[in-house]
Amino acid sequence: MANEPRAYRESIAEVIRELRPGVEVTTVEPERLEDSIPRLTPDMVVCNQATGVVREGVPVWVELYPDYASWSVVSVRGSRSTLDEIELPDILSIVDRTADP
Amino acid sequence: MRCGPAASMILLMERSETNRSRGKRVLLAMELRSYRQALAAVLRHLFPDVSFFEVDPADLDRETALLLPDLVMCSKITNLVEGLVPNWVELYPDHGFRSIVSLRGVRSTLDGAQLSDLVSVVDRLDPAASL
Repeated sequence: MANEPRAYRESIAEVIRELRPGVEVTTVEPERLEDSIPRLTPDMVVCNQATGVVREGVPVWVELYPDYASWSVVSVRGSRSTLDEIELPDILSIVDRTADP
Repeated sequence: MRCGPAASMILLMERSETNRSRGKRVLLAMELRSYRQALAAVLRHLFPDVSFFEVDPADLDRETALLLPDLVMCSKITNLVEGLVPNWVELYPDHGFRSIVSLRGVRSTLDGAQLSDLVSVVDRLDPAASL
Protein backbone atom coordinates (compact mmCIF):
# COMPACT_ATOMS: atom_id res chain seq x y z
CA MET A 1 0.00 0.00 0.00
CA ALA A 2 1.64 3.24 -1.12
CA ASN A 3 -1.22 5.61 -1.77
CA GLU A 4 -1.66 9.07 -0.33
CA PRO A 5 -2.90 10.55 1.96
CA ARG A 6 -1.51 8.58 4.85
CA ALA A 7 -4.64 8.18 6.98
CA TYR A 8 -6.49 6.63 4.04
CA ARG A 9 -3.57 4.35 3.20
CA GLU A 10 -3.55 3.16 6.79
CA SER A 11 -7.34 2.75 6.80
CA ILE A 12 -7.43 0.55 3.69
CA ALA A 13 -4.51 -1.47 5.06
CA GLU A 14 -6.34 -2.02 8.35
CA VAL A 15 -9.50 -3.13 6.57
CA ILE A 16 -7.60 -5.66 4.45
CA ARG A 17 -5.74 -6.97 7.50
CA GLU A 18 -8.99 -7.37 9.39
CA LEU A 19 -11.08 -8.89 6.60
CA ARG A 20 -8.36 -10.86 4.85
CA PRO A 21 -6.19 -12.16 7.72
CA GLY A 22 -4.24 -14.45 5.40
CA VAL A 23 -2.92 -11.48 3.42
CA GLU A 24 0.25 -9.71 4.52
CA VAL A 25 -0.16 -5.96 4.10
CA THR A 26 2.74 -3.52 4.15
CA THR A 27 2.41 0.26 3.96
CA VAL A 28 5.17 2.45 2.55
CA GLU A 29 5.47 6.12 1.70
CA PRO A 30 4.91 6.70 -2.03
CA GLU A 31 8.48 7.88 -2.54
CA ARG A 32 9.72 4.57 -1.15
CA LEU A 33 7.54 2.43 -3.38
CA GLU A 34 10.06 1.67 -6.13
CA ASP A 35 12.79 0.79 -3.62
CA SER A 36 10.38 -1.48 -1.79
CA ILE A 37 9.36 -3.61 -4.76
CA PRO A 38 12.61 -5.60 -5.18
CA ARG A 39 12.75 -6.11 -1.42
CA LEU A 40 9.12 -7.08 -0.79
CA THR A 41 8.26 -8.57 -4.22
CA PRO A 42 4.56 -7.80 -3.63
CA ASP A 43 1.78 -9.67 -5.42
CA MET A 44 -0.27 -6.48 -5.50
CA VAL A 45 0.41 -2.76 -5.17
CA VAL A 46 -2.04 0.04 -4.44
CA CYS A 47 -0.64 3.48 -5.27
CA ASN A 48 -1.60 6.81 -6.82
CA GLN A 49 0.93 6.69 -9.67
CA ALA A 50 1.88 3.33 -11.13
CA THR A 51 5.49 3.76 -12.23
CA GLY A 52 7.27 1.60 -14.80
CA VAL A 53 8.70 -0.55 -12.02
CA VAL A 54 5.20 -1.23 -10.72
CA ARG A 55 3.68 -1.84 -14.13
CA GLU A 56 6.43 -4.20 -15.21
CA GLY A 57 7.27 -5.90 -11.96
CA VAL A 58 4.02 -6.38 -10.05
CA PRO A 59 1.35 -8.84 -11.25
CA VAL A 60 -1.59 -6.88 -9.85
CA TRP A 61 -1.70 -3.15 -9.27
CA VAL A 62 -4.27 -0.47 -8.58
CA GLU A 63 -3.57 3.13 -9.53
CA LEU A 64 -5.94 4.76 -7.12
CA TYR A 65 -7.31 8.20 -7.95
CA PRO A 66 -4.31 9.42 -10.01
CA ASP A 67 -3.99 13.19 -9.48
CA TYR A 68 -7.11 12.96 -7.28
CA ALA A 69 -9.30 12.00 -10.23
CA SER A 70 -12.48 10.08 -9.47
CA TRP A 71 -11.36 7.10 -11.54
CA SER A 72 -8.79 4.41 -10.89
CA VAL A 73 -6.89 1.97 -13.07
CA VAL A 74 -6.72 -1.72 -12.21
CA SER A 75 -4.32 -4.19 -13.78
CA VAL A 76 -4.69 -7.88 -13.01
CA ARG A 77 -1.97 -9.93 -14.65
CA GLY A 78 -1.88 -7.68 -17.69
CA SER A 79 -5.62 -7.22 -18.05
CA ARG A 80 -6.23 -3.53 -17.50
CA SER A 81 -9.49 -1.73 -16.73
CA THR A 82 -10.64 1.65 -15.50
CA LEU A 83 -13.08 2.00 -12.64
CA ASP A 84 -14.99 5.17 -11.97
CA GLU A 85 -15.60 5.83 -8.27
CA ILE A 86 -13.89 2.68 -7.05
CA GLU A 87 -15.36 1.39 -3.79
CA LEU A 88 -13.84 -0.47 -0.89
CA PRO A 89 -15.49 -3.80 -1.94
CA ASP A 90 -13.83 -3.40 -5.35
CA ILE A 91 -10.42 -3.22 -3.67
CA LEU A 92 -11.20 -6.27 -1.54
CA SER A 93 -12.31 -8.11 -4.66
CA ILE A 94 -8.99 -7.32 -6.35
CA VAL A 95 -7.16 -8.59 -3.26
CA ASP A 96 -9.16 -11.81 -3.55
CA ARG A 97 -8.33 -12.16 -7.23
CA THR A 98 -4.66 -11.62 -6.41
CA ALA A 99 -4.63 -14.28 -3.73
CA ASP A 100 -6.74 -16.76 -5.70
CA PRO A 101 -6.26 -16.26 -9.45
CA MET B 1 -42.47 22.57 4.06
CA ARG B 2 -40.53 25.81 4.39
CA CYS B 3 -40.23 27.65 7.68
CA GLY B 4 -38.75 30.91 8.82
CA PRO B 5 -35.55 31.45 10.82
CA ALA B 6 -37.33 31.44 14.21
CA ALA B 7 -39.16 28.20 13.44
CA SER B 8 -35.94 26.68 12.14
CA MET B 9 -34.19 27.60 15.37
CA ILE B 10 -36.99 26.05 17.45
CA LEU B 11 -36.77 22.90 15.33
CA LEU B 12 -33.03 22.71 15.86
CA MET B 13 -33.41 23.25 19.61
CA GLU B 14 -36.00 20.49 19.82
CA ARG B 15 -33.74 18.16 17.89
CA SER B 16 -30.85 19.13 20.15
CA GLU B 17 -32.88 18.25 23.22
CA THR B 18 -33.81 14.89 21.73
CA ASN B 19 -30.20 14.24 20.81
CA ARG B 20 -28.88 14.73 24.33
CA SER B 21 -29.95 11.23 25.26
CA ARG B 22 -28.80 9.43 22.14
CA GLY B 23 -25.45 7.88 21.30
CA LYS B 24 -22.63 9.63 19.55
CA ARG B 25 -22.98 10.34 15.86
CA VAL B 26 -20.13 10.90 13.45
CA LEU B 27 -20.70 12.07 9.90
CA LEU B 28 -18.04 11.21 7.33
CA ALA B 29 -18.17 13.28 4.14
CA MET B 30 -14.69 13.10 2.67
CA GLU B 31 -14.13 13.03 -1.06
CA LEU B 32 -13.15 9.79 -2.82
CA ARG B 33 -15.54 7.06 -1.85
CA SER B 34 -13.23 4.16 -1.07
CA TYR B 35 -11.23 6.35 1.31
CA ARG B 36 -14.41 7.38 3.11
CA GLN B 37 -15.61 3.78 3.24
CA ALA B 38 -12.30 2.47 4.56
CA LEU B 39 -12.07 5.05 7.32
CA ALA B 40 -15.68 4.40 8.30
CA ALA B 41 -15.05 0.65 8.43
CA VAL B 42 -12.06 1.06 10.73
CA LEU B 43 -13.85 3.48 13.04
CA ARG B 44 -16.98 1.28 13.23
CA HIS B 45 -14.78 -1.62 14.25
CA LEU B 46 -13.00 0.39 16.94
CA PHE B 47 -16.06 2.25 18.26
CA PRO B 48 -19.05 -0.09 18.13
CA ASP B 49 -21.12 2.25 20.32
CA VAL B 50 -20.72 5.21 17.98
CA SER B 51 -22.91 5.61 14.88
CA PHE B 52 -20.98 6.48 11.74
CA PHE B 53 -22.77 7.90 8.71
CA GLU B 54 -21.17 8.15 5.29
CA VAL B 55 -22.42 10.82 2.90
CA ASP B 56 -21.31 12.36 -0.35
CA PRO B 57 -19.66 15.77 0.22
CA ALA B 58 -22.41 17.39 -1.83
CA ASP B 59 -24.91 16.30 0.84
CA LEU B 60 -22.85 17.43 3.81
CA ASP B 61 -24.97 20.44 4.83
CA ARG B 62 -28.29 18.67 4.38
CA GLU B 63 -27.21 15.59 6.34
CA THR B 64 -25.61 17.71 9.06
CA ALA B 65 -28.89 19.55 9.59
CA LEU B 66 -30.78 16.25 9.70
CA LEU B 67 -28.44 14.25 11.91
CA LEU B 68 -26.91 16.93 14.12
CA PRO B 69 -23.75 14.85 14.50
CA ASP B 70 -21.29 15.21 17.35
CA LEU B 71 -18.40 15.11 14.93
CA VAL B 72 -17.98 15.74 11.21
CA MET B 73 -14.99 14.63 9.19
CA CYS B 74 -14.89 16.14 5.71
CA SER B 75 -12.56 17.44 3.03
CA LYS B 76 -14.01 20.95 3.05
CA ILE B 77 -15.70 22.50 6.04
CA THR B 78 -18.82 24.59 5.49
CA ASN B 79 -20.31 27.49 7.44
CA LEU B 80 -23.25 25.34 8.44
CA VAL B 81 -21.01 22.62 9.88
CA GLU B 82 -18.94 25.20 11.73
CA GLY B 83 -22.11 26.68 13.16
CA LEU B 84 -23.91 23.47 14.13
CA VAL B 85 -21.32 20.84 14.95
CA PRO B 86 -19.23 20.99 18.12
CA ASN B 87 -16.36 18.93 16.72
CA TRP B 88 -15.06 18.67 13.19
CA VAL B 89 -12.03 17.65 11.18
CA GLU B 90 -11.25 19.20 7.82
CA LEU B 91 -9.12 16.42 6.43
CA TYR B 92 -6.50 17.24 3.80
CA PRO B 93 -8.40 20.24 2.35
CA ASP B 94 -7.50 20.93 -1.28
CA HIS B 95 -5.50 17.68 -1.19
CA GLY B 96 -2.98 19.36 1.08
CA PHE B 97 -0.74 17.97 3.81
CA ARG B 98 -2.37 19.94 6.60
CA SER B 99 -5.67 19.14 8.30
CA ILE B 100 -7.65 21.25 10.75
CA VAL B 101 -9.23 19.87 13.90
CA SER B 102 -11.80 21.78 15.93
CA LEU B 103 -12.85 20.27 19.25
CA ARG B 104 -15.48 22.28 21.11
CA GLY B 105 -14.23 25.46 19.51
CA VAL B 106 -10.54 24.84 20.11
CA ARG B 107 -8.89 24.72 16.75
CA SER B 108 -5.57 23.11 15.89
CA THR B 109 -3.70 22.01 12.78
CA LEU B 110 -2.47 18.56 12.05
CA ASP B 111 0.32 17.94 9.55
CA GLY B 112 0.26 14.63 7.72
CA ALA B 113 -2.73 13.30 9.65
CA GLN B 114 -2.46 9.62 10.51
CA LEU B 115 -5.20 7.13 11.19
CA SER B 116 -4.26 7.16 14.87
CA ASP B 117 -4.92 10.93 14.98
CA LEU B 118 -8.45 10.42 13.68
CA VAL B 119 -9.06 7.57 16.10
CA SER B 120 -7.91 9.87 18.88
CA VAL B 121 -10.39 12.56 17.82
CA VAL B 122 -13.30 10.10 18.00
CA ASP B 123 -11.99 8.83 21.31
CA ARG B 124 -12.08 12.36 22.72
CA LEU B 125 -15.77 12.88 22.04
CA ASP B 126 -17.09 13.90 25.41
CA PRO B 127 -20.70 13.20 26.40
CA ALA B 128 -20.94 16.81 27.52
CA ALA B 129 -20.10 17.88 24.00
CA SER B 130 -23.37 16.58 22.58
CA LEU B 131 -25.57 19.12 20.91
